[in-house]
Amino acid sequence: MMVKLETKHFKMSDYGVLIGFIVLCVAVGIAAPTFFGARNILNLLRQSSIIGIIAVGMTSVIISGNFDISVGAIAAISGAVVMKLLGNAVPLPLVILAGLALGLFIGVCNGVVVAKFAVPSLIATMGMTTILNGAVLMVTGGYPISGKYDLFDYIGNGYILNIPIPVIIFALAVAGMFFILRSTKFGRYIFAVGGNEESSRLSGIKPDRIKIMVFAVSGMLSALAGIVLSSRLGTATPVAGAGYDMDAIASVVIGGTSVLGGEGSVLKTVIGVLFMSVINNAFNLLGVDVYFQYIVKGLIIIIAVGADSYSRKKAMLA
Amino acid sequence: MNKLLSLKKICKSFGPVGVLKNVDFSLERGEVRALLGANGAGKSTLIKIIGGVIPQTSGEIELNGQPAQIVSPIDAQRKGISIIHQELSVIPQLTVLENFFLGREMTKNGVLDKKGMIQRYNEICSEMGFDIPWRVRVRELSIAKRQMVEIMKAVSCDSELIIMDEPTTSLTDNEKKNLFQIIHSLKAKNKTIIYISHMLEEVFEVCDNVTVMLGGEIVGNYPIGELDQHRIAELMAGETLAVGHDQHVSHADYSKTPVLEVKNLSHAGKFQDVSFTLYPGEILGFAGLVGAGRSEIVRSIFGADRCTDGEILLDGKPCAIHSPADAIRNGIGLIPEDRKTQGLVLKQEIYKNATILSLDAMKKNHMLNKKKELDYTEKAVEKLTIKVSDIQNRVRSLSGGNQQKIVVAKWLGKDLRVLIFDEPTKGIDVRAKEDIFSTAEQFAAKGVAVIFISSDLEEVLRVSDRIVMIHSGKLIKVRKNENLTVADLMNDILVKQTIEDGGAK
Repeated sequence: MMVKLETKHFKMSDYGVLIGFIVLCVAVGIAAPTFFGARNILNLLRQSSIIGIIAVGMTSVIISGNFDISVGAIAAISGAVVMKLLGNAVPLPLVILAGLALGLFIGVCNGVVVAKFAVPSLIATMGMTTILNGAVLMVTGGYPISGKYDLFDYIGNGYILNIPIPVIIFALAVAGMFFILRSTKFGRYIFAVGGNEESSRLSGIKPDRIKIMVFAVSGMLSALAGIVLSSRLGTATPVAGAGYDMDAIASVVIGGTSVLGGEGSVLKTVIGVLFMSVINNAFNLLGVDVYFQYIVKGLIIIIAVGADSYSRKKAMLA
Repeated sequence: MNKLLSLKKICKSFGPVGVLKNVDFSLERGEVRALLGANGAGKSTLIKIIGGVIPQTSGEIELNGQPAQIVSPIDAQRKGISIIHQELSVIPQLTVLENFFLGREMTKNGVLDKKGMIQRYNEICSEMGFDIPWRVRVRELSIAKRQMVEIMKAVSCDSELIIMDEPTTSLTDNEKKNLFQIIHSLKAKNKTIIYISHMLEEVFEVCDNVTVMLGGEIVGNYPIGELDQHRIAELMAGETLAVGHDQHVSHADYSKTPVLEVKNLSHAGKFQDVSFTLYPGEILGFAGLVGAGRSEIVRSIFGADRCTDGEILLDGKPCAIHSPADAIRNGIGLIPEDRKTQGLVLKQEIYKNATILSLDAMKKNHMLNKKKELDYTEKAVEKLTIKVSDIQNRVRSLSGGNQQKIVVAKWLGKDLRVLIFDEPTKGIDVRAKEDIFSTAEQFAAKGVAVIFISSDLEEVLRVSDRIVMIHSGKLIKVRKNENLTVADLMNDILVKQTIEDGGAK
């Protein structure tokens, strides 16, 4: 039985993930009543926030028609540099500024390689990942850098009005990106370039500039995530951030942002991030084997993207 | 002589539109036949039917005197018909040999028989007098050599009929001579050739007979000796219809300084030494065949392509334009040739497409304001009579004509000096065409200088104050649009010019 739910301004494809998410939450809540506890929810949000911050930047990159897989490596190097600087008694505001500036700089490099030298973004950022992996080993010497700094510690572990600070940072990043995409010229141009680069260029947009800016934003948010992570753990390890790239991309596409570019929304990404976290959380609450979790996560990514591209293919052939 | 191919009462329609109407067409074995006609005359459709690419709606085909059905390109090849397309169908990454035997590789005991293939290839090469090593990758060959590979392939398939669709467009003079020799030797082997070209000199050089098409019908078949270039231009133009148009009203003001002066603009391989002036309120038509370089010229003026040489003056002052953004800042607009890939972002909403050039004016408290954007779009919809149910739908959902009007709507909010329409009427209905013409005239009435490109010469005559004739990347002459007919234009853009200085005629 198919019920026709679609009207002009309501498309199943736009809300499918949200509905799926709600169904998932209800199901998990019934199976494991502790799920809806305030403590569990806050925990869940805090777990989501680091990937979430990265996924916010990734959303704009993917809308522009690109990928950034160097995000995990940027988080790692920024975390390491921040811990190292703190160890050398550099004042905290300066340290954070340096961490963010580093992420911004790496992002700009990514953008320049992609825009000016026309290297496919997947390859460009893959190369950058390898460079950064080497750099982070050089900075850390291959060992974790640990340290306890009261104020810094607060970023990853503190609360404001009972809300974990990482969650607040995530929320601010979402709000900022939402504003950029919806209400600024830069945001509109990201969609235009991702939708059709040639049309954009003939409309006086400079696609190169837009791409560089998008990668810069992604780099800076990745660095922010890295800072939050090292604060949360009180340590920076060379392998921090491994796998974050794929988790962030997965969150964006599960949320429903098209991998083809030109369409998407940061709010969808929030749903995607939470979706992934709830599944993780549910598996843990229900005591499912960790190895099995990977298999299910992989299937969800393929199904989410598959459903989108399959409907597109059908529409093309129709 | 015996008949190789004969088409009887062939009709082809796409939906309600009849593209071929009762076409009778027959070929004698061993002749070289020129197939001529303006863009849209039906040449390509006819070729596609002969080549099995599309089926006819009605009518019969006879091959060697027997009724035949050509159901697919492969079927056509089996029946001895090969087409050398304008865009060659060789695969650049593969070697000559791999391309040559693609889809019909010789095998021995289930393995590729490379030795055998090389031997066969070399035989054909020497038979045709070519010297193209089999191991070279096709991407390393010149266009001319790639063409030779295709021709050899056709010959090696024992093709009786070889159709060449504008084979000389990317060839140098020497390569052309080479091709003509090949055609002569094919003819000597009693092969039959259909030769499509816009270059009339070539037709006189290689063809025995000429078939002229116009509006989906055959105008006539003529031995080449009975024709000259002017007569062919006349036949291709047909009788001009002088009725049914709204009258063009000129807003040109020739007393003022020209808005745009283009001096000796060149782009190696695309166009050479193009100069013209454009006055406030003037509509300057660009007449020329597809591939003559019209789009390339305006794209260079707009900064979308680099030009290698030349100067552009805006209001009498030199003006450096390196990108579309520069052009737009200087008040030059372009409605590009292909609305789907160059004019619009199809997956975006209608209003977002319409406002993309004017986002600064869409702000309220420094933020983009949806209401302002919708207002802008509503006004444009009304002004340009765009048929749309909801401007928040995607632009993809609109018909071709309405999509084109959205591209025009983008420029309504701009303070323009020059607006270029590049083939704005392609694939849109008559009503929408007339709307586009009057839009161009409205811009002109406001003092904007307009360049209007169309392959339909009647349209150029309909809107232009003056007309620039372009042939093979060169500006042949500029004429005032007074008492001109399609035949005049056809003559100018088709016939090799003896006097190229464009003096008064």
